[in-house]
Amino acid sequence: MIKDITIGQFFPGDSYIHKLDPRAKIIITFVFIVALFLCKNYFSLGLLFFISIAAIVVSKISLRVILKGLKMIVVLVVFTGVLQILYNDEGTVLWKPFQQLDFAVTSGGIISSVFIIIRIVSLILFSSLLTYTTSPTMLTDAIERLLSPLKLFKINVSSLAMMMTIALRFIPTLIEEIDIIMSAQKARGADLETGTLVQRAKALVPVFIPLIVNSFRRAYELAFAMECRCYTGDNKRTRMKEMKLALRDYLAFAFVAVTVAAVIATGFFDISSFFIFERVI
Amino acid sequence: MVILEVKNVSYGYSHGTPFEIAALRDVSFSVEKGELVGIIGHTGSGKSTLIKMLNSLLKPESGQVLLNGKDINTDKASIKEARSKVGLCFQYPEYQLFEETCAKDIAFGPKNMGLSEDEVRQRVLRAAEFVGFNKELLNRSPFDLSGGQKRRCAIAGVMAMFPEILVLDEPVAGLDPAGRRELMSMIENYRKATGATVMIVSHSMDDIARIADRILVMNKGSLAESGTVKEIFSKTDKLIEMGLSVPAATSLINKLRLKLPELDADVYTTEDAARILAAFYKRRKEQ
Repeated sequence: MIKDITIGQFFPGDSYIHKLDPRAKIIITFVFIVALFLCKNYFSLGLLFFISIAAIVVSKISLRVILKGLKMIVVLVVFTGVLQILYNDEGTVLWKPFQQLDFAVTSGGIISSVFIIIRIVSLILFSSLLTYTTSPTMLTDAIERLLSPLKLFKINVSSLAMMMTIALRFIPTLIEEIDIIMSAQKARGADLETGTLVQRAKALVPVFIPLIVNSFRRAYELAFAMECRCYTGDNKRTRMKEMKLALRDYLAFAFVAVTVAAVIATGFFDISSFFIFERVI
Repeated sequence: MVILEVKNVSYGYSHGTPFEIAALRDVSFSVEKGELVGIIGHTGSGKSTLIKMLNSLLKPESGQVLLNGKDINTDKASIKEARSKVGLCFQYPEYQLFEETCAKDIAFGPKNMGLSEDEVRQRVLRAAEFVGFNKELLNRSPFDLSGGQKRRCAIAGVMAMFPEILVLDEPVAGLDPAGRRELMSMIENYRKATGATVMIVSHSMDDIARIADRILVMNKGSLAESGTVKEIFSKTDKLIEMGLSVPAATSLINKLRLKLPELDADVYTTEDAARILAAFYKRRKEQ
């Protein structure tokens, strides 16, 4: 059950997206996420949503994995969608279930609710595509390079990156460990699934105490192992694989620039797709 | 009397990802009450998945696990019953200790079974006795103990439930030779005293040969062989093919038999080997 979490996992492959320079991928993902919040109408949002789907097709990540990742955020999506319907009373009233209460489902509410749902889904698609197609080591290497200007402020970027690598590296290990400890305590009759919230929180004590104790033990062991291999944490280490931007990265940048320009432009012209949709409803 | 029956059980991990594995394929066997069953197999052969099936920590995708003739996956009550009747002790159980004192940690299982305080206390004391823990050790924090003591404390935690079937995954892994011997005899004592059925997963062919009544051999998710110590360890080539081996004593006698074919072939423990070689030496001297 706990092993089914696919967000943040890496799926090896050799698609165009896999081959992109990780720095380029991080920047592009970031730009797209910002662009998602610049969208003012369904044209620009639709464009970005379409691009996220197209990128997934190009990456050859199986649809089942993507859907599994989205399953994790269903609650969040439904919750925000419902809130939008509840609090937006623009447009025409479509349904007024309680005459006494000042509440109605309006066309404006539905339009903004669908809008925000597509926005969240695209957001998740873009960001999970980054982790699905980039190995954790590549990711932290790229972050280290992107953060290197911070060296000017005497921040030790390489130890930051090392910490990040280690943290990412240990997520699957810890998940596996939680699984083992939970199994062991369940085997001794621990009930982790039923009961009130307080009871369930208390039932987790036998899982978290060993987890924390083991994490400290692991941290010590890892620190020793790193010292044995002469790790000092200074900035003078060189890389075995130098990252270099290639033609495909510049192509991707150009594509993103055009898209973002389109998104901003449609915002200025205010095509007001809202009204088009309103007529449909 | 058959106490546990595994019928055509199959199970797979990570469906729909590139890492999909079939962990168990159509595994069937049964265990008699009071038997000591050894489970051997290469790393990744499905042993650990198999034992998780025995108390419903994992549910078979197809097939059934019957405890005393009843399917353990029928409903919540049957699962709860299986959890208390099949005591599972995982590899390196010392990493699952969590309480302030050993006594409290050992009491965790019996408490979850809903027993009275008095009964829990008695069970803790009895289980502690099996693993050689005195009052002083019982009141110490489990985190202050030595590695071997932690291991025994954790195993006592499972023993205190007094399960009908005690399942141990590599109970002696990582212990020194004295610790291994000690722990093995503790398990044997527990079995003698309670009449419980015991299943042990181990990579030590010597340990398995010495104590098991019957051996299950797992290979690539299937049950490759099942039989007595003699039946299993006489098939040296087959075991080596599966990444396993025979006990050191068997291997020694097999090599000697190439030169001395008159030696008895059925040797599986060091004690047997010593006895046979002594007898052989005596015969030689008399001639």
